Amino acid sequence: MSTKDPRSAQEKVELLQGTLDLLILRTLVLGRAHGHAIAQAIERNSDDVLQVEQGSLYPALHRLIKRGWISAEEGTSENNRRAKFYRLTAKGRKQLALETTKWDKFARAIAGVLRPADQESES
Amino acid sequence: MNRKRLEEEMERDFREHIERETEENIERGMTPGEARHAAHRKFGNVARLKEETRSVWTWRWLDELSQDLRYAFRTLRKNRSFAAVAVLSLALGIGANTAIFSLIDSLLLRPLPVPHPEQLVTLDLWNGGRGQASITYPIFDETRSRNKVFAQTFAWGGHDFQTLIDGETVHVQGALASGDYFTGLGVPAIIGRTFTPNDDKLGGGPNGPVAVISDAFWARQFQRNPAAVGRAITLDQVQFTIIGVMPGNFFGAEPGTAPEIWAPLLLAERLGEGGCIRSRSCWFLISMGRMKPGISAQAAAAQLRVVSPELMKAAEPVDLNMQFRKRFLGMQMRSQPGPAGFSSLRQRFSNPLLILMILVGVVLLIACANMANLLIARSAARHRETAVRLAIGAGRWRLIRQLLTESVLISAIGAALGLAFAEWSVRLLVGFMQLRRSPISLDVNPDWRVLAFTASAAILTGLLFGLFPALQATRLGINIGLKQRAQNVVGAPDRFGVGRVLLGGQVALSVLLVAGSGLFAGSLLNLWTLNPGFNPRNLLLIGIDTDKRPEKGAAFGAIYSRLLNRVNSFPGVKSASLLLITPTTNFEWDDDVSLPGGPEIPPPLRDTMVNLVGPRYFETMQTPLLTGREFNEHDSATAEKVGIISEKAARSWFGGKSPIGEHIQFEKSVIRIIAVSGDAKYLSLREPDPLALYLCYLQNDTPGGSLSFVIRSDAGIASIYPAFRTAVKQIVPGTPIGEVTTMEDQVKESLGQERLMASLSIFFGVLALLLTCIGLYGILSYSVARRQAEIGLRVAIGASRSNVIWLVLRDTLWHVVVGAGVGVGAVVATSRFVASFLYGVKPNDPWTLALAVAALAAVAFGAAWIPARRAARLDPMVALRDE
Repeated sequence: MSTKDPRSAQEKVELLQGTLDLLILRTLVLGRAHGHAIAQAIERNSDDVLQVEQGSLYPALHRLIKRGWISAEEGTSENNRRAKFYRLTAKGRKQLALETTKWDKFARAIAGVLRPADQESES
Repeated sequence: MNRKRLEEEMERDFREHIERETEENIERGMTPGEARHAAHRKFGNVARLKEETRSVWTWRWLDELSQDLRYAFRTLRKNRSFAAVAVLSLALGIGANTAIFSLIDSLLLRPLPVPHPEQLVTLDLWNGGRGQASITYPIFDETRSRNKVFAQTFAWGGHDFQTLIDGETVHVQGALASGDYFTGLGVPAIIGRTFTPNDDKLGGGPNGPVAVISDAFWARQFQRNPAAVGRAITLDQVQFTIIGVMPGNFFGAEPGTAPEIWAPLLLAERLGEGGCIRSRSCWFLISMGRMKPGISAQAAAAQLRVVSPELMKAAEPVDLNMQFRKRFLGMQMRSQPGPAGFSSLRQRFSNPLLILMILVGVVLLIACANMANLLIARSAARHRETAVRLAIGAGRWRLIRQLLTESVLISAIGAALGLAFAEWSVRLLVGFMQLRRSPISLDVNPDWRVLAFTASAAILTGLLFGLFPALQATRLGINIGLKQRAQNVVGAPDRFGVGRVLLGGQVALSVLLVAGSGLFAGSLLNLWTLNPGFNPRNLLLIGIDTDKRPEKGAAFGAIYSRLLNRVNSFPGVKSASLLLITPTTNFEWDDDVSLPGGPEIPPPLRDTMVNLVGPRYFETMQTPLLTGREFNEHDSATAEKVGIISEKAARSWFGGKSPIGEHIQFEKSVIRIIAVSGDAKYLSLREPDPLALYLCYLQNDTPGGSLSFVIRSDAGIASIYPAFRTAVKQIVPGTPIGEVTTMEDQVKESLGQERLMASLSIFFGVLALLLTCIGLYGILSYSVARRQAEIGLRVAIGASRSNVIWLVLRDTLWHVVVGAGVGVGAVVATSRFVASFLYGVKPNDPWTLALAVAALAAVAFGAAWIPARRAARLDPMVALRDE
């Protein structure tokens, strides 16, 4: 994801390394989905702040298949078109739990550094 | 693997995605164009994304491969003795296959190193059966002028040039070639030029006699000095000008030969081959053609068939007898695709090579069976490892792939070593095929065909011996694998397991190979010990080349008489004589004999082998004279013509009557018989004794022909040769000395093919035994180790040593017996295919079969003995405690 559209660079939030994988796994918790649906779900759920270059989804999907976290299957979509559906595997589900915990810790840590007051007031 | 499918799926995925996005954009109110554009922008750079996606797959595949390879290397390093045995046996198996294949390749498959070899055809005379490649000049000339399908029709004949080098007359192998020879082959000179039809004129072209030399000759004689072109060279006493040098890889159109000088064909009239251009019965040429562009090989052959009758009529050898001419006119000129050129070696060696190829194939099969056995034994030892891997989620296919990687790695290492082994052994093989008379120089450097052969042999053998053990190793259920230790005490021997079947097969193939080598060796031994009718020990042969001597008739014979007198006076010479045709060289002079005024001889008894010999010939050869006298110096050109016939001829022509004083008609002369000799071999040791007629060299009026000296002496060549050379220098200065050898070597050389077959098959037979021995030892050692606890238990409850030994040997023995039985069956079924290579042994010789089975039994017993003894020595306490 080295090339960026210069016009949108300011509005978009750049994805951290490995975050996309997490987002995909999270999206698939709800059930199988094809590539386009995954991309849309990520955009919608993040209120369009996280702008994924949609195509970069695919190398990530293949990487996840390779790691055994998701699997792919042929299927028919709503409008009767053949498409490839991706589904979370048992291994992927475990991985998601792990990654989510990690991410939460990470996010809290960052938040603590950036807004120490908030943290104090919460605790 | 299914890369193509992945590629298609990705393509479709991307397309689908963009399609959906576009539709949604349209719903949002964009124009179709805008919608598509926006979708693309949002998707990103398709090509880059594809590349990124692809790299995910590639790495996965490569990752796993390198993982497997690393693992395989590690396992091999841990089992050094296993690795050494495996690699070595495969190296021998694959190496032997590569060696034989590279011979077949260089002799039969490899196209000539010339441009567009696929346009070349070989021409021969054909009567529906076997073709005859050698033709006369008139046949060539008529073919050249009457066909419309060849851009060039060219011919050549081998020729030994005599040239003066360092003051000594030497022979140089060369060829007389027609003007279109070089253009037809399409190879230009590296310096200077080649000759053309313009130079190929009777008496020489505008530049007089010209010659082209080989790169080797250029290097040897001229140290690669470019000034060699334009230099004069005397060939057969005719002044030639060197006009060009051919590239180093050019050997003409005849693989196996290495001519060093080429001269235009029509100059034959001025060289040694005098008369052959005009003669209609001088079969000294080989011809080929290069098809015109756009003409297919079928069209060329068809057109040649059409013009064949008229050209044969025009070239009819009118100087020969009616019977031959009729046969001649029944033949036609045939053209066949000939990208590999013409080779006389092909006829001689293609059958032996095919048989050897089968033999080495069998050796490789044995090596495979052996490897499979070793792997099964080992994978059994790795049951637990496999079971654990399966238990923690490894896919079966993944495990199989890893095991196969290991076996292909073993065979690849074996193949690499085998290539080196082949490199060395193929030179040895060519050495076996050598004849001094026509040295063979074959390009046996491995080309892509050989490398591809070796690589595919490696991969195939790897898969072949690896697949079964891999399937078997991964089939077992996890439970069984993990609980396997407990099973040991019960230790049911898998009597009908794959390993045992492989062992039986290996034994059967070994019996086949060993019996084959027994047959070939027996044949060689029979030929070796056969009495050829003369005594080849301590018999020297020295040839001189008098073809170009000016003396004719009686004066010509006188040269030999003077030389012979000198030779007889050398110290250490018991007796010496002369002969025209050395026995067992496959040269012949034969014609029909009849009885003047007597009864007609039936046709099969007419054809007689003739030789010209000198006085004391029979004494020198130690061929007995049954009655009558030897030739002597009184049997001269002016005296009555006399001859000596062999016992078989005497019996065939005169029955029980004494032939002494009787007359026979041979060619144009009537000959009085003065003696009967014992039968002796002529063409080769394999041929039955011929009807033979010996004539005295002094009475021979056929022009030309160089005789050889045959000398009975204990002194050896080294002490006779210097004296002989001095004598030649004094009596016939400038005459080159030809071949110098012993009769024993000549006989040995004449058995080249038999020696090749016998020594190689023995080598392969021993190899097969060795491999079987290793395999058997491996299996038994393993099974003893596995059944340690059981054996310990048996000993503990009172089994004797012999009980234990019998226990170990029992089922092995059974498989050896079954395997040997199958092997004997295989021999009986296949040995008749090699019958033509055998001499004095029946294809199903029971002694050979018995010997083969006995050899195998001995080897099997030897291999089984050590593990059996180890089992018998087991201390039950130790064995059981190990549990």
